[in-house]
Amino acid sequence: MKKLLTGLLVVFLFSGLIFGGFSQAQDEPTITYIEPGTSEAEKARTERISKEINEQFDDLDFQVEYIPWGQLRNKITTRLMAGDAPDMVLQQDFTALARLGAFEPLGDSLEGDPMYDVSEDNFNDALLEYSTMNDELYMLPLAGVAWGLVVREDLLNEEGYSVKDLETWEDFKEIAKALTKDTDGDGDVDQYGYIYDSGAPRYAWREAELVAHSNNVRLENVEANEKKVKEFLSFIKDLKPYTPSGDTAMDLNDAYRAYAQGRVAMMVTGSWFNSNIVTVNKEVMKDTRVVPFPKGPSADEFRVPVNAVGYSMFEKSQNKEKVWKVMNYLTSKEKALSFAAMINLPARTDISPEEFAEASKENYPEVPEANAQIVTDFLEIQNKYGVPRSKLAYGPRIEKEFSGIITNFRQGNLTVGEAYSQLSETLPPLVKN
Amino acid sequence: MISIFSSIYSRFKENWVAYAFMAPLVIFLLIFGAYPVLNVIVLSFFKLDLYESFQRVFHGLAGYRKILFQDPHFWRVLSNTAIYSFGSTILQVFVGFLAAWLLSKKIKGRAIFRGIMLIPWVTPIIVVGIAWRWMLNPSVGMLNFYLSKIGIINNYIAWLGNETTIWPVLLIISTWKGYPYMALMMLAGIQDVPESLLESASMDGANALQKIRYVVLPIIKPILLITALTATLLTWNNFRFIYAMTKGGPGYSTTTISIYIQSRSFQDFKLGEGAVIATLSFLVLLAFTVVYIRRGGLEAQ
Amino acid sequence: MRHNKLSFIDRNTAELRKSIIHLLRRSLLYLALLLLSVFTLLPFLWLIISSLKPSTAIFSEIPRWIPRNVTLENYLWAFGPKGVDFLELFKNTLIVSSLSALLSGTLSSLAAYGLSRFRFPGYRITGIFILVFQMFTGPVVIVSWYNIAQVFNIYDTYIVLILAYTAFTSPVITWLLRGYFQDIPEALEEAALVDGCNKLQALYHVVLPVAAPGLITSVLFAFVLSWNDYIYALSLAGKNAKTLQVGIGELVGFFGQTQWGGVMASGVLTALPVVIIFIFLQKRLVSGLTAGAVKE
Repeated sequence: MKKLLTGLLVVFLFSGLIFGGFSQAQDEPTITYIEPGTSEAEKARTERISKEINEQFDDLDFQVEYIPWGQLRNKITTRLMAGDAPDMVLQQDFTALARLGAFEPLGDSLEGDPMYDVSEDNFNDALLEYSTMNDELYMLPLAGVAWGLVVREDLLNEEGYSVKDLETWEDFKEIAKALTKDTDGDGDVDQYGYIYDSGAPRYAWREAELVAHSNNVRLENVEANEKKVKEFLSFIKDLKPYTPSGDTAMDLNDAYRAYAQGRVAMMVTGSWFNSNIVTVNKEVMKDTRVVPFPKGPSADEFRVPVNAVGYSMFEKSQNKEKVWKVMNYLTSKEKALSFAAMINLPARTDISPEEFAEASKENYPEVPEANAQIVTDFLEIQNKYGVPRSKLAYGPRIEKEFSGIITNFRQGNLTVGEAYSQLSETLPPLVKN
Repeated sequence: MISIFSSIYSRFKENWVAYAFMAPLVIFLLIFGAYPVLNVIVLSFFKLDLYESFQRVFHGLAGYRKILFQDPHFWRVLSNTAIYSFGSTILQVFVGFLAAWLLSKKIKGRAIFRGIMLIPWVTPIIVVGIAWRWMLNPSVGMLNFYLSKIGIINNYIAWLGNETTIWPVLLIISTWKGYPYMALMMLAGIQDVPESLLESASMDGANALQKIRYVVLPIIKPILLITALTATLLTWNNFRFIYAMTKGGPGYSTTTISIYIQSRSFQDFKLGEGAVIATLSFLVLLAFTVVYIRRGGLEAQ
Repeated sequence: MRHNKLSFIDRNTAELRKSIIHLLRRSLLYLALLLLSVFTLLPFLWLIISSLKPSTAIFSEIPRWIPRNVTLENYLWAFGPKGVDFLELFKNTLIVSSLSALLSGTLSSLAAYGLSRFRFPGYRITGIFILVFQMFTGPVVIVSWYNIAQVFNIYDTYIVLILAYTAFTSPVITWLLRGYFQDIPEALEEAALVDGCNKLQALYHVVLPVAAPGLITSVLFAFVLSWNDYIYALSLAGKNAKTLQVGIGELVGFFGQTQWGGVMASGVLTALPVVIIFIFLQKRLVSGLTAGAVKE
């Protein structure tokens, strides 16, 4: 019996070696593309497009490798350290890897003959600016992500307000207060005006960053902007009674559920909002509108932070011209539209809001009008008020430090002054790098 | 000179059987385990900051000085890890022993029970994280819902959000997830306790607690001690559990060594410092293990 | 003797009291078991029930233990390529976990036997040396393994995962097995040696059968450690050797929709095989000792 087992073991080990396989040689050069979208819809689209590419271009072999968004940085860094590199990748937080020198600057290529009508003129300026670092263009924008205030119009109207009334922070506080109430008469407040899900560092920072932008300050520039940052902190403190009491422990998923279930009337989020709400409660989409976050006391106009999602080419790629061809093909109007219709917003300015709204309806067959309205709202604020988000090489570290301080602050353990001084101690060293 | 060599040689000849038994594993570990381990230790004496260069630069103990004396969070992270690791293990030993004891009895369907017991341990942590986070949700979570219905609490609590409750909650969930391993190991050991001994103890008038203390425990002591040691080691380096539950937050309050190393290495790209932290963590574990083995009498036969 | 002097009634009362106490003991046992089961199963129960609901009904405000619409759509989805492609990934995970468990068990039982029976010079250091390999963690370890995979050209193969898991589990398994071996009296092997076996034969024919419960438990432990691993599989496997844990990780979308019900179903499906394997192994876990191998 034991002998049999040992024998089987040996056989298995050898067959594992054989079937596991070693890499095989290809005749056409392989373009390895890293796709971070592993959800059902994203995968389906990627498969389809990958087939199209292989049919269109017979002088290359387009291979897709899936690495989920959250693992992009880790896996790519591992590869780079081993001296290994793929050819191209889709991403949004490109700063760190670009700082490592992983990517090929694309600016010159972009100024050349436009393929598929891909040229500088056809992209949203804020998104191009976002994709540029140290004067080099590192990402070819495929889509834009805008961050706005998502609002339950019906609940607002019930209290006698309209979304147009959300002009300033004072308005916001007033409306948030009015929307915080006990709806079923059991003595407990079950609906809140707002939610600030500061439980996860990434969104604790991003939502704060957005509110700071509405006060005309980039939150990481703490030292130079004492007044504006303190205004921001006081504002956050004033909002605490109108947010669910446990929201310092909630992450974005919890916030989405709270919004979708009507426990919260307003929240701040990015333009991928729809795909996350539709799996919880699509009805709520019908009453949702998107507006830029109201202006703070130090701001004279709306500011909406935006970032791009785009393709980057690896500096170590062996087939740069072919990769550039494929990247252009993928950011052509038709292909870019099919992506934006699925998630986020178009980065190309030659895609009209009407075309975009129509295309988006196909991806949400159960709530086409509601979806179209929401994405159109997001597109409008991106185009009208979009400012590029900050690119921070030590982003994750800043997020972590910030989330600790802001949680402490929101739980009432720090005064505005103390929170400010902690922020000005911890953030600047991380930003200067 | 020659006499030293010949005495080593004759010692070797005497014990060659023992060495032969040890050889396969030791050789395997030297080939596959040593490379990663040596990489970490060696790198800890270098500066490797990918934002500056992909080449490492030797700087001796500078990294150690920085982490031990200048790092704002290292000591807190170390103590978090100790709380997590030792706390989990102690609780898991208790619950695991209880489970193993219960399941060693002749009851109907015990094969099924034992199988069911494994479930927390083998359910993917991602899914466990989603489930538990939802149950602990501050607004609509089940725990708050039922506890307030029964009347134990008046206001809903943010279990994973406030300092008082976060570690107890994490330790309880960690116990839930990890006790099956303990129970499994101890079950095999409890089975080894001869029925005859238990029966004669009963006849001498011993109740269950006394039987456990004087008959069962002495016999399973080696297994119990080893299981606790291995659980401590494995928990110490466990990344996924805490990350799935709290991501190490809020702030650094639940950040453990493995999370800290990960963020230092792949977020700050300071791999040299990451290696320093990993090596320091190793030294702590090594010291603990050596002391534990000596005091637990695990060396002696 | 006193018994004969007791009246019929007294004797029966004593018997009655004994059986009541016995009944109480049994009920206490079952009660404790029940509480333990509830503690163990409650979250999983929620998981299963959620996996049988449509995604939109899972995160409801009021906990609903009996689903309004029971549906198997999540399981069907999980099996398919859109979901976690269960059968394919299950095959990969099973192969990698079982082979590494077997390899780990083999190497470790030899070493554990050596550590438990022989006090050879350097046995203490060797024992701790083995355990040292369990004490390191972090990206440098992972990058090192990635390098190993590249150099031997085994990236994204079963082999590399098997090797990594064996290296990862064998230190712990060795010490566990040593503990089990220590429980087995040396008298057994001495009897075998007297009968003319050498040490290896003694191990093989006498000790291992008696140590079977501990051995199987340890191999199962190595299996579960590999089954549960996410980090090594993520870094060392691509398409071909992808494991279930990695597959499930991909299901939680970032921009795109997450099919929560599908995620739950995949989680349930991933947990069950190990439970089933374990239930089947139960028979072999009856202790060799209590089967009367040793006559005191």
